[in-house]
Amino acid sequence: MIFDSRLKPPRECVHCLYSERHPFGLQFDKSGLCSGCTTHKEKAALDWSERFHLLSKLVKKRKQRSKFYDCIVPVRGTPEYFYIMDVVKNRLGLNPLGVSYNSQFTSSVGIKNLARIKEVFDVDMLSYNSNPLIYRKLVRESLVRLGHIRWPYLAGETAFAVRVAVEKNIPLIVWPYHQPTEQVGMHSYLEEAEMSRRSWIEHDLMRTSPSDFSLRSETLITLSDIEDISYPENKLLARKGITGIYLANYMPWDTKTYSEEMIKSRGALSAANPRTFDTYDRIDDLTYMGVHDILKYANIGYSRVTDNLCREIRFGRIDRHSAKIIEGYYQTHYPADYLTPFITWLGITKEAFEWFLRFSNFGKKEVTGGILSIVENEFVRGFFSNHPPLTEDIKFTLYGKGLTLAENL
Amino acid sequence: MAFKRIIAVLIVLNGQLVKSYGYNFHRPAGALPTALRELDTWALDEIMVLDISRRESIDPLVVRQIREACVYSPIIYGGGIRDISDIQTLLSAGCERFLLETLYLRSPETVKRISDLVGGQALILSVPLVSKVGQGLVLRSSSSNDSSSPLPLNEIAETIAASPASELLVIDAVAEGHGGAFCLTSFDDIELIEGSKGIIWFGGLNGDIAEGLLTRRSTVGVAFGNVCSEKELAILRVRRGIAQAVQQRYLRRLCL
Repeated sequence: MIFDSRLKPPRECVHCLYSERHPFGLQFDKSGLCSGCTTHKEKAALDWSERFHLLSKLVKKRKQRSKFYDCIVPVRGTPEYFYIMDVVKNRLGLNPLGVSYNSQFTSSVGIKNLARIKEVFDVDMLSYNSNPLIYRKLVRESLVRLGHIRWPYLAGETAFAVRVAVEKNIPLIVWPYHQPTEQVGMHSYLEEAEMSRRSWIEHDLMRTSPSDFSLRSETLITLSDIEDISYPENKLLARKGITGIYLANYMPWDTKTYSEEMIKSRGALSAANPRTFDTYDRIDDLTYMGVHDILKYANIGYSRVTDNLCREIRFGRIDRHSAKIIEGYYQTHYPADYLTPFITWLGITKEAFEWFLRFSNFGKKEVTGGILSIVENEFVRGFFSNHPPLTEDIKFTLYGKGLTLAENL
Repeated sequence: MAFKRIIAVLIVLNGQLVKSYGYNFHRPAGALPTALRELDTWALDEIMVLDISRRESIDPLVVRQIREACVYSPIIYGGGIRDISDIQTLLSAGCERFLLETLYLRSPETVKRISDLVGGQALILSVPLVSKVGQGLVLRSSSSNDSSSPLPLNEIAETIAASPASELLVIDAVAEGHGGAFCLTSFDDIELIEGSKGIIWFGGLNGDIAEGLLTRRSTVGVAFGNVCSEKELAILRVRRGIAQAVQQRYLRRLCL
């Protein structure tokens, strides 16, 4: 549901920065605390050693059913995914198969991290590269239809993991956390919510399933285009007993702490991102904090820096007032040169991209965010980076296909 | 032989799909059309859309979303139904059965007129119950305008029995949202309404509790709410669990 801010200002949480504008929906209690903050309190209240024991029992049951690989772990090139592999391999004693879906815009730090995960944890990895021409067609369609460029990646990443699970009879898929639970408290950690097609369509794919893309008469997307991003049928999932679990239901998930631990102990790489202070989050994708984040603000009125700040507020690492200043500061960043390679790849002009922004709900944030004070600067400097920033990495890496896109434009 | 049904419940509050906990605390649960379409692939007996906004009318946004979802599963709608025009609106949106709560207490004659239109088999009475010390089971008030004391179950049992509705949705309003907390059948009062009509139980059920309830003669169905958004194919798992428990009980009897 798109919130129309022209009617009345959205209701805001008294603690974090989220408001009714959040696309996942938000509920408030009588004190004005949002459901996300209420759920976050469980991180301090629950007995996590007991919960990890529950996890160990759950995976032990699954381990007995599989022949070689005990589980599938979808992997991205960020420090957090080192932590997931560490938990799965070293603490739970499982033999995982890593699966990685090429977003077509992987940064060099993301590629290095993926290689490092394989090396450090000695795990097998299955990578999938979809046809870049079809992928580009899907990105264009999702930009026009949804104002979003990551729809094909989000569809493919989950669908690929589930398809591999079905094909290789590996019934367990291990994810780090359920984003709607972390952000808006959709489930309690005690409920042990699992991966589901409904959540995939609702939250990852913005209520637009792959078949919705191909069913319209005006679209150029065909059924074969969406074949590799389609979720397997219910009867297959039921027959094979495929389950996707979230580690955050059994561990007090904290992206910052876990990422820093892996940087220190496992040599994970981190890098500065435009439009946010967080040097660990989404550094594997060159478009996430550029084109995607600008479109996100344009469509729903807040950007990824707000998600990062809400996490920090809830962990008590920053107060709401300073977070608001930092939010305003980063939301006005518009790294025009950094956007150019993607826009060129997509085959649109800069003016066409600006047109999407002009006719969206919120447009481009023009008001300058001012400067950060000592307190805010100190907070921002607390995020470590050991790799050149993403803005220096402007060439997309296209591998495995042997195509030169310029020939096919 | 009447068959017993498993029903998924989707709870709506102020136009938003929510997970409800004792009707006091709520979590966002996504969008109603997506949920309806996904549950439609689960081969459920029925899907119930329950609007707990305490409105004095049906919510046109919710009705539109039901119409646009265009699902094949039979839909029960409850919340804000006040007269025959509401029934007609809901019928045209694709709903097949109707859950009534405030109406059967305020205006039994309207319920009779609705029954004449759609038949008693299309009507279900909602009986949300809480336990009060010294009073036993009482009806939890659903209307925001109702400031009177809660009605004890024994005072409305006759009204319920006399109603043309074919079934009751009996809700443990305290346990609602807390799987495994259902406890209504431990109260003697519940026998006042068992036997008058078929009962669908809802509120804090899990697989084991549902299996036990399904063995009761008065039970025509069990309903699950929050769990439908927590697990893939949740109802299928419940169904399998119940089938296995029934099979084991049957085998034990054979051995005896």
